[in-house]
Amino acid sequence: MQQPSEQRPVLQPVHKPVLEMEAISKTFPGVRALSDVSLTVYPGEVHALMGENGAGKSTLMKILSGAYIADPGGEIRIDGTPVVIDGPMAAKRLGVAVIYQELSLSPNLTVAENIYLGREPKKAGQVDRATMKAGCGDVLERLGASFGPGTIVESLSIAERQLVEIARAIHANARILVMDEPTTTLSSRETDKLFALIRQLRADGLAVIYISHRMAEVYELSDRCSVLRDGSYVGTLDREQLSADAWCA
Amino acid sequence: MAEETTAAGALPDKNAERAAANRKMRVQGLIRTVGMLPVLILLAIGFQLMSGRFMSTQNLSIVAQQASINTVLAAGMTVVILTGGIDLSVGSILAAAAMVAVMGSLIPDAGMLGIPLALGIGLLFGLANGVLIAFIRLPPFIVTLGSLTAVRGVARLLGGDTTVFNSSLPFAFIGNGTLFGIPWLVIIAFATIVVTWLILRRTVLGVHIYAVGGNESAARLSGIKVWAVLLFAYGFSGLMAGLGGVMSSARLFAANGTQLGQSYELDAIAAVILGGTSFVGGIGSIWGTLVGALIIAVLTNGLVLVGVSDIWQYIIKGLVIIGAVALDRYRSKGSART
Repeated sequence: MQQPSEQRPVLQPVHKPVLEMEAISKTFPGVRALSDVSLTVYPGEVHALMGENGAGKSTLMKILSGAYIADPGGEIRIDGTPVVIDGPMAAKRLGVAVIYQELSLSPNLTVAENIYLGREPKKAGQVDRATMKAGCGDVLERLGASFGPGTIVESLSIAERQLVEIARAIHANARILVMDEPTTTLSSRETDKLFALIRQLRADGLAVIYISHRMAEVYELSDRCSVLRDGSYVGTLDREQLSADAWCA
Repeated sequence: MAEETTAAGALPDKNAERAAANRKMRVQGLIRTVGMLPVLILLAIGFQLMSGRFMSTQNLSIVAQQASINTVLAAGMTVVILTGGIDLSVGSILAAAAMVAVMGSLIPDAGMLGIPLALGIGLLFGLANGVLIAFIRLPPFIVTLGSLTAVRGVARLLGGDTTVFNSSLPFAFIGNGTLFGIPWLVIIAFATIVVTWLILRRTVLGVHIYAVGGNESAARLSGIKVWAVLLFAYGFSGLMAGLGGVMSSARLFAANGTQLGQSYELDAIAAVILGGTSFVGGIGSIWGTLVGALIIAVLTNGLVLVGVSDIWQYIIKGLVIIGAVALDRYRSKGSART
């Protein structure tokens, strides 16, 4: 299922951005967490979002995922259309999915039930478990999962649970996938597998926003990289300009 | 989740290790469902051997009737505990509902109104619990501990702190009649189990109940209206307590706000826990609850038949409940809950 990783064409200049966040600010009582931050993400790219703790990465992503609402004045456009993201469901409808650091699965439910959670298919007023099981077999196989849709999530490893979250995002037709420090709890072998998967998703045209502290990962994986510092936007670099010491003073 | 794991069938698992892990999960699920069934059967055989008349049709019918009200309360309690909550107020709600049922039955020419009135008052108190828990985000234990006391007061207030009677109760058949030889109490109890099973296993709401119990914040992020699930759970538990009030008043032709339903919540919780439902929420099945309720009824009845004194009955029943909770802890540890 894995694509050779370095074959992709450089698509960004040709494509229209899938996501544009412009002049986003967020003020908490007494703190200005973000001021005038912009971010442009293209389909088929892995876009690293970097900065120190407290630089505003998570705040920006929480605005994108509907957990926070930005101060008035900024604009978010998806496929060039201005959108209002006023809650997690709105973000989901717009194709934004977040893979959280603290995983957001129900450990007592099956993989299929988790993938369909909140969007369960019905037949004659009843939950259609057969459709659920059949409907997520494809995506699990595409992602190279070694477990079936009937597996109870509790019996899966952290890496496998992450895979279930990604499967859920893809199954919900997400086009913008936000991954917040996804490798923190993974072994190096699991990390390699995750990277292969992210490259595959990129080849499929997804936009992946990748938050990480780890320079090596960012260098290995990302096409472009945006940097935040103290709640402000510092700049965006292309892959060619990326090198471990070119920036981040 | 127990039925799910047992009925899931063969998966196209690629590695044997995973298959083994799955099989282990499934066996655990099976044990969770039927785990207490052997205990129930052993108790029945034991009491038969000791008393010589436990297994008579007549006595088994009595056991089933004794189990019926607790089964109905425990069905509501199962839903609440599956969401990770608790409902301590069911005994008091039952008393208030029984008062309303008897008082309603005294309405001239419309005595049957006692039934819907009692169900309505039960539902109302349950929803009040639910509103406090779902919207004001108070802990279920505190809320229902409060309503345990407050609703008990309401029950006494309703009859002016007296016992209300109706010797010609229009729905007396519920408490004393039979249909094709089966007591109505037993039919009603079994029906609530089936309805609860349908809700839990066949509806989207059921999946959401398990999801809220498993990981509430994940459920919320998935767009599940957690407040609606909680409101349903406590409303349903209140409704079941109301039904218990109808059954109780129909059996006694009377209701007393002070004594009726005292500590019924404890028997209901014990039935749920004996049935293998995890106190943490998210894991358990309604059939387990039925077995749990039957164990409590068999214990109560059998200890009387064998001639164990009232005092020792309390001690033995209490130890059985503690043993069951110990088992619950052991199981939780075994499945490595996070």
